[in-house]
Amino acid sequence: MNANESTHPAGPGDRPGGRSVSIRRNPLVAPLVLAATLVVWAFLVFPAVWIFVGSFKTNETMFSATSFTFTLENYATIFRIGFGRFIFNSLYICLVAVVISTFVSVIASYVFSRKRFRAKRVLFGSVILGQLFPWIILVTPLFIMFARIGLLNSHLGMILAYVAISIPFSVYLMVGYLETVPRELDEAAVMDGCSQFQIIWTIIFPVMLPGIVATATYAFLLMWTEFLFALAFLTRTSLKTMPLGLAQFFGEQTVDWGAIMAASAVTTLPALLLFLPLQTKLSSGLTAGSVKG
Amino acid sequence: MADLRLLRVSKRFGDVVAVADIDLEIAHREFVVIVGPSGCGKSTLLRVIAGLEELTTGEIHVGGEAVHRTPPAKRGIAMVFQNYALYPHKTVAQNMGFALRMAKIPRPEIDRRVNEAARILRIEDLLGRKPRQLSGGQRQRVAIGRAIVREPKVFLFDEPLSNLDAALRVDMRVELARLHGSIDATMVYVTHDQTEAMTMADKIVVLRDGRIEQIGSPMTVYHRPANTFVAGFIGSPRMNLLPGTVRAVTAGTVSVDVDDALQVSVPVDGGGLSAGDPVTLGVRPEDLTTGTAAAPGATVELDVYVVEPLGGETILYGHIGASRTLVVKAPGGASVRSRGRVAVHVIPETCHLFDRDGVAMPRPFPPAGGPASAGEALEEKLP
Repeated sequence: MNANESTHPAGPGDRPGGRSVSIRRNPLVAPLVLAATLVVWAFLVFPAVWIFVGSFKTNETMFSATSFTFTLENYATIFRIGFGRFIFNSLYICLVAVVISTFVSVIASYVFSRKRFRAKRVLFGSVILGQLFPWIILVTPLFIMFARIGLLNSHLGMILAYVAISIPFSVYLMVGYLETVPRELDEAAVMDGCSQFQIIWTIIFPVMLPGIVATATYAFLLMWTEFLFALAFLTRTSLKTMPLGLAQFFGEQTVDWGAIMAASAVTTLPALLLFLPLQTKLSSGLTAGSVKG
Repeated sequence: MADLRLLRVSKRFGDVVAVADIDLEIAHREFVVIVGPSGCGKSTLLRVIAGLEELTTGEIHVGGEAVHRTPPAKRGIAMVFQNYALYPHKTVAQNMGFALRMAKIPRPEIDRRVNEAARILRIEDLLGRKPRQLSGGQRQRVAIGRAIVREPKVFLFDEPLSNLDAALRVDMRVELARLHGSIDATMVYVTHDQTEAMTMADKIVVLRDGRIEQIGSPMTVYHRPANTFVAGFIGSPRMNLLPGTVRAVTAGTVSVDVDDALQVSVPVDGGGLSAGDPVTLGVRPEDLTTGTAAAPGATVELDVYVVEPLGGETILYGHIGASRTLVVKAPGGASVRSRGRVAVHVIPETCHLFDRDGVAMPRPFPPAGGPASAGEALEEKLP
């Protein structure tokens, strides 16, 4: 029963005595929920704000709450030592990997969602099974395999590794999304003369775009911040990705906090620029009007 | 010519037989309605014709050409889905023109056909909208328009009106009948709604458990149901089916006892029946009249337990004899109260008789008088 219903005037079905029974909300609930939200929000936003502000502080005033000396020196430092290269490497690897993984996942999820074939459950189960292993367990066998086929210190190797780790959860998420897309759409497309491939790319892809954008965003951010595989497979400085670049500011004796703050601020930028515009695509209800709800 | 012929069409899903040995001939421009209860295989049959399901055995011919091995889009068949299945990201015009684009038809021709279909369906001003900006009835029109632009030989409708509200359903029913009159195509229409079947069909196919129970014009399946299933399925309220026993068989009539409450001499050919055989007496609620009429027939005392006044008519539910339920459709003005007793008059000519297997006994002449000939005369009389 919602609040509106509880305020309806007493009807014949109400309790004897003529008083309607309404659900009274505890007046403390709303402020408490608001307070809890603010605390969570502060935990989420504070580090980001602190990093952004800190990136413009000198190392001397970095941890001071009272003094602030504005400088752009931190940004100059990171680009002087070639941080731009790491960002380019990361962008290149992650974008290519996301495109490949999304392409494969859309087709795979379509097959899992729409086709009847033998051992479908086993195959789908094995896709999920791959997700159960902690990545650190995968590092050694992958390292040996990459060493044998010459994929160490190679962007191709990184792309393949990232595609491999992102496909299982992408397929899993997209199958879930595709189940909400009515099959009649496929059948209407069949009647309209679409080939299997055309059904996927001209009908299903646009319809499930919100799901694809959400999945691709998640996959991109996962790769963008991935450290372990990069650390194991990339040793040549010119090939390193952004997280490795960030790590090198943590020296054995000293930590260049100013540079770390600036580099961190810079690394959030491409992700923001890429995915903020896509957010509008995330709005649900794209299938609205397609079939009777 | 775009006649549709199904020859011994069967569809099995594993061990489940969804459609069994269907033989059906649908003439050019005929409007055929396939009816049956849920799960009777009617939608499966339609999907097999469309090519969305592969048939297990049998053949399908459209316009004399075997199409059961042809891809769905090339069969010359268009389908309108129960829940419209419009492409949500395309405008109305794009939805309607999509099949033509796939067939690589030149742009001006696509525009011409889309505009023509929009004109027929009166949706010209909606062509630029997306499906989500349309009402249910408008979406249904677009779905039909999408079928029209392909200029198919055969239209398939899979319960197209079941998602619309009652008032809109009546409007669309009339609209579809008008459409059938204006375009040169054969139509196959699946529904579980017998009103749609009766009002729209040239020919009704009654399906049960994947098998055809009866094929005939609406008036034939109503007046001459082939068996108790069709008798009970067509007509609302459904036909009263009363178990009885044969008292006597004479030339042209069979006298039947329903318990001790009712004795009727039904004018049917009782060949094969003999006294004491169990039979089922069928009589439609609308063929029963309250009060003892002067016409010859039987009268039975009805112990009414529920009265449903519908304005134009009043439905009476009551018991006859020990506990047999009988439903009577009386005129709207009938002043009957529940818990009362009413005399109900049964006219033997309106009664149906079914043997122990539920198969209708042949009738020598049509009900309610008329020429003493077979069913064809009836059809001529009731176009």
